[in-house]
Amino acid sequence: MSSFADLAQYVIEGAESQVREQVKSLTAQGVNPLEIINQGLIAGMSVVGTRFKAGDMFVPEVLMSARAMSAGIEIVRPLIAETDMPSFGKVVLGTVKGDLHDIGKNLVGMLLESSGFKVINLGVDISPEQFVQAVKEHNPDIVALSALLTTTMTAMKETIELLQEEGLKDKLKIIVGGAPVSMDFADQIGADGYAPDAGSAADLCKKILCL
Amino acid sequence: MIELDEMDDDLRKIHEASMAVLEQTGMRFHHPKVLEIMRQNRIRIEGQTAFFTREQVIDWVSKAPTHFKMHARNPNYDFVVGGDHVEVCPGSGSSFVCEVDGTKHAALMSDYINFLKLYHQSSYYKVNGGIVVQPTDIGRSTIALMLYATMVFSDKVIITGTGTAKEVEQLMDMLGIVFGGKTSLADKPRCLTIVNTNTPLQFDTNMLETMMVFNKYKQPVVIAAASMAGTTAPMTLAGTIALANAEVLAGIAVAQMINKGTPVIYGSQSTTSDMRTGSIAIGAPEGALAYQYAARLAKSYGLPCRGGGTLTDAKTLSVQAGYESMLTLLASYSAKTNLIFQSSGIIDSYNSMCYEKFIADLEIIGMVKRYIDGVKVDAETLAVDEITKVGIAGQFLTSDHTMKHFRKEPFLPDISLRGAVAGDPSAKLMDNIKTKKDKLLASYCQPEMSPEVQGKLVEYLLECGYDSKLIESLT
Repeated sequence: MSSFADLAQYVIEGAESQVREQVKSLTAQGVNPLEIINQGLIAGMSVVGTRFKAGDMFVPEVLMSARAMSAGIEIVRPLIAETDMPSFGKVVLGTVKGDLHDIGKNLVGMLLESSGFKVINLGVDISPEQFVQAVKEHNPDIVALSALLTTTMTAMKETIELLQEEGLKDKLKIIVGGAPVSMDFADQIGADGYAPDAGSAADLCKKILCL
Repeated sequence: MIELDEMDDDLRKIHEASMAVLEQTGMRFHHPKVLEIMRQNRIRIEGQTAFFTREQVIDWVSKAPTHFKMHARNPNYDFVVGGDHVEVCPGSGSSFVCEVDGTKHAALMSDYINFLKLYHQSSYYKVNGGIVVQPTDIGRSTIALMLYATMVFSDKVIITGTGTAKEVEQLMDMLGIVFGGKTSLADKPRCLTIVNTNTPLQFDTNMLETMMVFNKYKQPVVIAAASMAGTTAPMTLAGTIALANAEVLAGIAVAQMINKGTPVIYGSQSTTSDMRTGSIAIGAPEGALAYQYAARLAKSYGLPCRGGGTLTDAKTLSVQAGYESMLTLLASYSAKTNLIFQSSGIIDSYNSMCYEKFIADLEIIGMVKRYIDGVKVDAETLAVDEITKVGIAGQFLTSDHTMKHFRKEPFLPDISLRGAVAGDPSAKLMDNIKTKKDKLLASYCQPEMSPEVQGKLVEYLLECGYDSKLIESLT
């Protein structure tokens, strides 16, 4: 008999194939797909989050868990109406113009997804115009800007200014991150939030959306 | 000269792995002109990716000079880059200034000038400038103003920032004004800059533009990778070193295609990632190892090298800052890394410069230099006659031999506490640090620059559209 506890444990272990089997078995038993997500997949991921913050789980393990959870969600997604999918909100994410640094931003993306956000990852070297385009297309709750270079962090300001000019800024929250970025800099350029590392980005998103 | 046969087994394996990466996976160059130059030199290009055969890599890398001399405005500061010669070089790239307790503020132009003065004052340094901090209060295009300040406040060998081709050409115009014309710059290396790869296996547009301009005027470029094991590079150090090696060699090969014989420096700041957070760990023992391997590889390719520093991930001027900085400097210094950038002031994983750590790091540099000097063994230093003279149960404090050597043989600490200390020792140590910093700044004397040359520089900056008040504030 499959159980939510087993499913959560497989998520914690990052055991993707077991998660798939377990989810399939639970759906075959007629278990409510939303319960599978909430009591199995998200329950497991929340343990992962706690252990990550305590320094007991390392980044690669968290990412394996996140991947396993996503695999489970993909199986039940067709069974749930889009509007019923549990989500904290939609985040458009990208590295700003001139900057090719990808990995830190992707880490943020994966951790946001595993915390229950829908993430649209635009990639690297994203111009202010491309961010504006993406906001018009996806209508996100949050735009997350990344930069690693002191020479490209100024493109964050330009992106925020263009969102403002286009009248989009007030409809969403903007967060920034990356090695040269600080809370002061975030305030200076009119961002709504700053997280010093990938682990705290999800908490920041929840906080600024008052969740 | 490239001495592949001289490589030990491990270096040879790393080299072979790097060659396989460049042949099979290639490297992406985000610049059409650079791609065209490579194509003309029969490098296989697909899209923006260049694939090098090992023969091509070796052939082009071997065109780079094994060593060259840097010429300062004041010839007392000239030095050779290459061989076993080691020079410490300033911190580079931080956009914050950090207090002892970890409080940070955005770096300002006044901090930039303060650090120029401090580097000018320290006798350990023959080099100054670059991005000693990245000032946040002088607008977007900053490298020309930073170079101007560097030349006004110091006459040591010059480091510059990086930027677009247009911005870097401005730097060359300014150097031309100071050093007898832009066209004669190619005769002597006058300034250094650092261009970084984007690990894994990319080179961005700005870095390539900077490199092309520097190559054109035959000014030396450090081509450096800062690969992070576990995130931007394989988790295992050997793979990370091989990947960084591939990137740097590809960059050096391209520099030689742009201008044969242009001086380049093999650079690596590669280290591990901290797998708990995904952050870079610059003070890690894996970093120390990677800086050493980079130096060994560069030397076997017959290239001058750059790496390491007094590096730390500590957030405050703490015991962690001390032990990490000592490890990384000792590792890079003992590997005879020719240029050790980031050798003072760096804290918080390259994010910040700290005045007090700058002073503490000078102490570390002094200790490491003394350690590397080793023990001189000869009749005078063995002092057998002296031992005989003093005899059993005697003392050496008052002997002539002691008088002759006591200021020369041991390292003389500037700030460290030894012996009995009255009062709070921690406060005393911090007081020593602050006193030394204040003394260095108070005794700073601006080196001379001909008013005519300075006038021409100002005129040039005004022509380029820089704010006159801002320029005036930099004197």
